[in-house]
Amino acid sequence: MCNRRIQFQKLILMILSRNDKSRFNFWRNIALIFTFLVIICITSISVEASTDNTLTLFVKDVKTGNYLDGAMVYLDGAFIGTTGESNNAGTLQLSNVSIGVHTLRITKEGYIEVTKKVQFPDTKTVELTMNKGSLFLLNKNGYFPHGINVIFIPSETSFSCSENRKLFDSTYTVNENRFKEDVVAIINRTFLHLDKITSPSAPLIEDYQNRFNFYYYYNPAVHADAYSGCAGTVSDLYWKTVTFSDITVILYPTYTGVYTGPPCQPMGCYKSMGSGRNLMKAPADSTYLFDHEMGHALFGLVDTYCGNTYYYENSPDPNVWASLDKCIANAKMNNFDPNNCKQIKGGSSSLCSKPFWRWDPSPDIMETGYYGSFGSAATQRINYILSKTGSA
Amino acid sequence: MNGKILVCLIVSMALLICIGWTHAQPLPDYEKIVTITLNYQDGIYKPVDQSIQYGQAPNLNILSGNLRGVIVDNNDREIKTFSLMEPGIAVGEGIQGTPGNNPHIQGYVERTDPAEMVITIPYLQNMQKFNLYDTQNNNLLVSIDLSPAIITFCAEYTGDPDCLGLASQSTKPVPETRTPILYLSVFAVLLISGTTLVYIFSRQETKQDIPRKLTILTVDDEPTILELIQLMLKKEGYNTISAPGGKECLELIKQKKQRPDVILLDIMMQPMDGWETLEHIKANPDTKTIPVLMLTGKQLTAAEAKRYHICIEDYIMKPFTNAQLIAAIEHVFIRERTIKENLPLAKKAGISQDIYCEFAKLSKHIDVNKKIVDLLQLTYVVDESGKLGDAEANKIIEQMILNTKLNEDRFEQMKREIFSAFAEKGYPVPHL
Repeated sequence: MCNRRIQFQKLILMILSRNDKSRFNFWRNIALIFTFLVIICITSISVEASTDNTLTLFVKDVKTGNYLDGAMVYLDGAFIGTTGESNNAGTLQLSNVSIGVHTLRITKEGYIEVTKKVQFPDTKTVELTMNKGSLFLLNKNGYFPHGINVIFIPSETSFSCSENRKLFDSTYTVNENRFKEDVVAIINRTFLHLDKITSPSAPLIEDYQNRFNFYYYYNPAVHADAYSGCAGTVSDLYWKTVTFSDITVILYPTYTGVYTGPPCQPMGCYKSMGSGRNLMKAPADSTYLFDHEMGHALFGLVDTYCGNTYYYENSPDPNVWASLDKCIANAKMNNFDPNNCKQIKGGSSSLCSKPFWRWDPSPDIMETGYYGSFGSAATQRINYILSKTGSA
Repeated sequence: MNGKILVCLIVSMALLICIGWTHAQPLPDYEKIVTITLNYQDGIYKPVDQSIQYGQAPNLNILSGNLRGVIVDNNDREIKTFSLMEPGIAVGEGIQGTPGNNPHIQGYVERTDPAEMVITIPYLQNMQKFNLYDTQNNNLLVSIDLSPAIITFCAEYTGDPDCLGLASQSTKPVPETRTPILYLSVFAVLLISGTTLVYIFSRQETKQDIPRKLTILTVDDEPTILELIQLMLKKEGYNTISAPGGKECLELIKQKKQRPDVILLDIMMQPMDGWETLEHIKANPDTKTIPVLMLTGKQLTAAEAKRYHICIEDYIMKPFTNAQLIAAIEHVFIRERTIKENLPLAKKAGISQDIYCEFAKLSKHIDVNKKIVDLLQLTYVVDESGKLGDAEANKIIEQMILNTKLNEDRFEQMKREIFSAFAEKGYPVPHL
C-alpha cells in the first residue's frame, strides 16, 4: 500500500519536473493528473454502484420442503412484503439493504413465527424453514376479535383415587381426533350451554355464544400433566407459543374411583399464574365439575360451600360478600330479596363457618359442583365478564 | 368521445384491480406484548425479567382477583387498569361420595411460596411503568420501569412503527460503510474478548484463591468404623466431621457453621437408628436438602425401601472399598454441580426453574430407585425358580418398578423438551 503511494507521488513529481516547462506542457500535465483522478473516481463510483444491496429470501415448509407463498417478511421490524409476490415461489427480494446485522421476521397463518439474524452483505441469500403451528381454531363462525380465548390441551395423565396414584393415560396423546371430539362435546355442554344453567332473572347477553374463540393445542411432543400439582402443568413451550390464552384447560379423560379427600388428588382445579396464565383442569366426563372450575377460572366466581377453599369479595358483581351489610346492600340494589343473604357455613361439617355471605339459593353450581345452576348473583357476574368482550 | 370513455374504463378497472389486490394482501401485524416476570415470596413481589416480543395479549378486561395491575404512561397517567389473582394459590375440588350416597363437594387449596408470576400485557404507546397494587388496602406491591425493555426491543426492531420515534435512542449502530464496520467490529471484538478474558481469569483466580473443601459428616456408633471412614475421606481431600449417634448428628447439623455437604449415615445405631435420624433430617426445612447416603451391613428390607427411598441419595452396603465409597460421594457432588451449573443455561433457554428442578429430581429418584430395586431383588430371591419369596416385598418391588417406569417416561419427555431447548440455543446438553 505504502509502495504504491510513493510510486504515485514519484509519477506526479516526474510529470511536473520535466525539462520542457512550456505552458502547453504545464496544462498537459494538469490534464493528465485530472484525467488520472477522474479515472480513479469513476472506477470507485462504478465499484460502489456495482455493490449489490439485495438480499434474497426463500421460505420453505420444514416438513414438505415446499416453497411457501404469502409469508409476510419484516426487516428490523418493518414490513417489506410477502413471499411469492414475484414469479418465484416462496421467494422475496429485499432491496436497498444496508450493511450490518439485520433481524428478519417471517410470519404466516398456521405456521410458527420465525426470526433470524443476518449479517449483510456477508449473507446475501437466506433460506428459512417454517414449522406448522399446533394451535387449531374450533369456531364455526370464525375468529371473534377480542373474544374470550379458551384453549384446550390434552393431558397424558389421569388419577386413580382407588389406588391413590397418577396414571399415564394415552387416550388423548395418541388420538388427536378423540381429543378434538371430547373438546367439542365439552364446549357444547358447558360454554355454549350457559343459557340453560344460568338464572333467567338475569338473562345472558343474547349473542354470548359468539363471544368465545375456542382452540385446541395438539403437539405430539408437548402434552400437559393434569396431575403435577393441583391444577397440573403445561410446558414452557406452550406458554411461549400461546401468549393470548384467557383460560387454558387441561382436559383428561376420566377420574378413576371416588374422591375421598387427601391424599387423593382433586378432580378439578384452578390456578392463576398471571394474565395469560390462567390454568384449569377437569375430567371430560364431569360436566358440572367442569362448569364449577370454569366459574372460578373464567368468571372469577367464588365458592359458596363451606370448606377448605379460597374466599374473597370478587368485585364488581360479586357472588360472595365480606359482610352481611354488603350482601344486603347489593341485594337491594339489584332488586333481589335481601332476606336470602346468609353466611357461608355448614356443608359437610357443622363446625364450618366463614366470614363471607352469599345470596344465591341452593342448588348452586359454585356450592355443589355436581348439580344445580348458577344463581342470579353468579349470572350477573358472568354477564359482567361477557360484556367486557368484543371491545379493545 | 369513445376514446375518452375507453380510457376512463381502463383506468377504473386498473384502480379496482389495485384496490382488490391491496385488500387481498394481509395487513402487516405489528401487535406486541410485554411480558413481566415476578417472583413472589412471603408477600413480596420482586421483578425478575421484562421483555417485549411480537404476539397477541390476553384480554385484560375479563380478569378477576384481588390485585390491581396498572399500566402508566410517561406523564404518570393510568392508561390501563385490570384485575389479577394473587399467585401461588390453586383452588381444587373433588366430589366425595357417589350419586345417591350423600355426594358433596370437598375443597382443596394448594399454596406455593415462593411462586412465579408472569404478567402478559399488550404493548401500548407511551407505556412507561407497570404498577401492581393490593386491592384491599391499595398498597403498591411493585413498580416496574418498562423503558429498558422498550429500548432493548427497539434497538433490534428499528423499523417497527412503534420504534421509529425511539430510533435515536437505539443502541444498535447501523453503519453505512464497510470500513467503520470493520474497525468497529475489530475494536468491539477485541474489547469484548479482552473483557471476557479478564473476567474469566479473575473468576478463576478468585476460585483458586479460596478453595472450599467439601465437608462430609459420618454418623456411626462404631468408633473403629468412624475412624476408618474419616481416614479414607481425609486422604481424598475432604473435610470430615463425625457424630457417634443420631441425636449427636441432629445437634451438629443444627449449627450452621457445621453444616455438611453430605451425610454418611449408619442404620444400625442405638438409641436412635439411622432411619429415625433420617426422618428428623428431612423434616427440618434447614437440613432437608443435605444429601444423605445410608451405610449399613444390614440388608435393606422392602418396607424400609418403600418408606425411605425418596429421602436418600444412595444405599452403600458394608463392607465397601475406598473406591466404592468415594465414587458414591463424588456421584452426588457431580450431580449437584451439574444441576447448579446448568440452571442459568436452562433459564436462558426458556425452561422454568420448577420444570428444571423436577427434571433433576426425577433423574435422582430414577437413579436411586433402580439401585434399591436391584438390592431388594437380591435380598428377596430365595428359591431356585427365581421367584421372590415374600408376597408383600414382591408387591412393593413391583410398585417401585412401575413407579420408576412412570418416572422414566416423564423424565424422557422432559428430557426431549429440555434438550431441544438447549440445542436451540446451542448450549451443551446437561447429563444429570
